[in-house]
Amino acid sequence: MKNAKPDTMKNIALLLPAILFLSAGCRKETPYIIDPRTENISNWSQAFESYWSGMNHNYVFWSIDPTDWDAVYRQYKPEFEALADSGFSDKATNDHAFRMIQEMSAGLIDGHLTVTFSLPDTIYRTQPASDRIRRREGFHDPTDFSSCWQHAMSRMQHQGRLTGFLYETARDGIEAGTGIIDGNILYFRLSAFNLSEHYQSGDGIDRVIAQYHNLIDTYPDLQGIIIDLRNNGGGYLSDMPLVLGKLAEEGHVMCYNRKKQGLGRLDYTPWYPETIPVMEQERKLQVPIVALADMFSVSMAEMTTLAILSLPGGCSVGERTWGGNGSLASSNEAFQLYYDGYFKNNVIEAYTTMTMLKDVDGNIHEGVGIPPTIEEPFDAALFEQGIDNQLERAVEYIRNGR
Amino acid sequence: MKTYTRTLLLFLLSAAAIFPVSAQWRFGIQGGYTYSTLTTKTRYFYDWNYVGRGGYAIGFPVQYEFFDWLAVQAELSWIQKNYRLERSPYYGFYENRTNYYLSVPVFARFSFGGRKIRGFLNAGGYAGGWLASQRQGIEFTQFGTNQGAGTGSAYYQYDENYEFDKRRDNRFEGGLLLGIGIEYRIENQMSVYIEGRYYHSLSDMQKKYMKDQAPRYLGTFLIQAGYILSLPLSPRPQAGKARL
Repeated sequence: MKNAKPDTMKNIALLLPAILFLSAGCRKETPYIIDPRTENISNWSQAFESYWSGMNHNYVFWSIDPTDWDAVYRQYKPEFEALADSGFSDKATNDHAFRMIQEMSAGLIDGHLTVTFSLPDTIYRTQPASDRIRRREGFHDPTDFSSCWQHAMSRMQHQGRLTGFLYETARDGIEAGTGIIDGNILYFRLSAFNLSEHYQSGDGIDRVIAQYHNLIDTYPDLQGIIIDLRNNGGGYLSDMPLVLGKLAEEGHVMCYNRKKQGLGRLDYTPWYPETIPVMEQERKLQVPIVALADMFSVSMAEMTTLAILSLPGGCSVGERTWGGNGSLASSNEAFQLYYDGYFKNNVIEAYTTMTMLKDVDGNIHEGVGIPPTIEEPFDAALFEQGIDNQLERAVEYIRNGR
Repeated sequence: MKTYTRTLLLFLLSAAAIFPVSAQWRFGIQGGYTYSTLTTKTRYFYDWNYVGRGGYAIGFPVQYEFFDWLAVQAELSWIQKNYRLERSPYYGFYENRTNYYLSVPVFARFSFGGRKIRGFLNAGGYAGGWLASQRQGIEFTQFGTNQGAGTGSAYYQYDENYEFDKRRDNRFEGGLLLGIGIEYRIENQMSVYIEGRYYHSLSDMQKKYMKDQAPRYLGTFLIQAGYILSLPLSPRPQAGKARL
């Protein structure tokens, strides 16, 4: 129609973009979110908001954690709001409030998670994984492990089964020992991953490391290696090459990690492969390597267990491990690098992991623990007599292959 | 069902009858370059920045021209809406996200100008689906940066398909578009045009899956060129002469 009404055209042409322009504002706003590391908290209502929000945006396990964190907010928000006027001066109120913090955190699967509230008169702390371990079937008290283990080692030495045994303790509490069992099985134990602090220092622990490396490099007719990670609470990742760096090929993938990648609970980096950092190797050993692990093998002890399981001839003997496979930097400054995990302010310290780990087969063991290849429950009565049934089972595996 | 079909046919014929006799269908092909940005808030992730990235688009427009100044156009478009996540150069981490969308824009086209060269303004909306996504970037590994006495690689370079998470990712996208361009009629039935267009997404890239969620919206500039062919329709019967 050549004689189109110009006024109508003009009106429509102006009206439609105007409608679009107005509609363009129909986007949702981002809520105001405060960095929990910068907050100054003075009552329980603020403390709840800070802890809840800090976990909401920094906790790395939301993709697999069964806790409904939004439901937690709906349930506990009114309860804490009611305490807003109380401050932190009343102990009964504080006890009640922290019990609620414990309840809302109880199901969080992070095996490292420790929540500490430092109030003027009291320090409150909860560690959900520790409570879970106590409820685990076969739970045993770990406190006497070191003395019983030393008893067992002495007994084996007296029997002539353990030779060349070098055992040292350091001021930082780390114990390490190495020797040869039954003539051709290399044994190495460490109570924590703090070896790199001692490496090449010339101290006792350094001598144990040097002997362990020397035995790997030169001991003739080695038939197997046992790395004892029981009752080991973890430590530095930089210890990995000192323990396994002479046993792995360069580029060997031992597990995968991922971190958070944004404010959203389900924002993650890709899974990235972790390889065993290697050391100079005198020879290529092709022998069974056994990780001896128990329910108190945590963190780096579990990562080392998974690394051993990923190696040819790798096996684990003992119990299901603790279930805390993430890595952690306990500093607010680390957030600027990792953008997830640990946070602390004037009241709250949330000691939580910054990485989620899966094994080479894709299994995530966080909150559950790594099941042993060969289960051998801890026998306290035998251990007190100096008989280490779990170590004996590891020796049997190396001898028989099953 | 029969009554419904008959009523629908009657309605369509009646509607067609009021259209001018000069109305015509036009079909074409177009393609161009996109530049997309992600609008979101990163709050206390201080050195975390989303920046725009380029991409490509190709589309197949179908246009129904009511008058020489007014047409309705629908398209089937394959369009990349890419962006980049980067941190401060000190850390050097980044991720390039390449997002593939299938989109159906529907809009009114207002034309003006002479017979050979005509300007136009497009205004309407679009809906589409997020077909796939690719992520390419660099991340550091835990053990690589904690090698101690060992040797290994500190960084991991990746280039992989992004796996959608049904709990989070909203694969539907809808929004508004506004475009402006110029068309040159080569012959009566053939035209070429260039157009600048902006897609303003109104749908969050994420489903509402958590409290205190930071929404993410895509905005895409498209500059494209196209070729369109007119197919003149035969004059329609008048409303009163319709037969069923």
